[in-house]
Amino acid sequence: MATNIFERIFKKQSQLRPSAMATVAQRRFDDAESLRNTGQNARANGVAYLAGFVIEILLKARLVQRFPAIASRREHQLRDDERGVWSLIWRQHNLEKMLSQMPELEAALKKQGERAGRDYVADLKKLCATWTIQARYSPRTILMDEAGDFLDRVRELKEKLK
Amino acid sequence: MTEDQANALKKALQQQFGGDVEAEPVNGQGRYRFAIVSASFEPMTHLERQDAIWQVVDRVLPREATLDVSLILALTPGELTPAD
Repeated sequence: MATNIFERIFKKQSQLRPSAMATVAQRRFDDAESLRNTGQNARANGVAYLAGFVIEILLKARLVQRFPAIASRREHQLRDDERGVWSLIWRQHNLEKMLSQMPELEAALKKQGERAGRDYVADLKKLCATWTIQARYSPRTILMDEAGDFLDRVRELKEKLK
Repeated sequence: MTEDQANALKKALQQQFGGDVEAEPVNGQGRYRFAIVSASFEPMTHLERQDAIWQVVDRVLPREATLDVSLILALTPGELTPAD
């Protein structure tokens, strides 16, 4: 019985598609925007956390797209050299490591940025660094203005990551 | 980026923001991450810190080398104090 439940849970996980993950990312973005619209500083950390989560989901979606065979495996089926990527997709929240697995994504963002007169790669790394600090190291409560700035930057970048 | 470029960026960040700056290679493939701990960040939001930092990056590194910056973490000394 327990095996069946686990099989069903993990089968569902392994069937997650990048398009479905993009939908989830949009929903979390909408959640963040709803919190922002309260205008309450007490909700600001929640805004920033969810906004960063949007980036995380989209980067994971890109990893699933880039490594579909690894993403679809169960943990016990993995080869040693596949564990790092699999763990980034299903276990970890390390945006920096996710990015480092996808140099082609950085190259594509760079090209798009050059066409638009922007630096989307730097923008993404700023968001990743900011979220890393806020999510892991800072006990500080931020203000809604700061969270709103973060969300606005995520709004633009998420369209480039979809 | 080359080690010389990483050291040049480290030096420029230290000159700009003061405090302590560290650089370490990531994956051994020419990528580096940086960490800055400086009191000069205290009046700045995290995104403001990042904007200021990346102005230095753009000034010091050629465009291609900026892709090899993995992340730049910016903290104040107070934020570095480990939580219990």
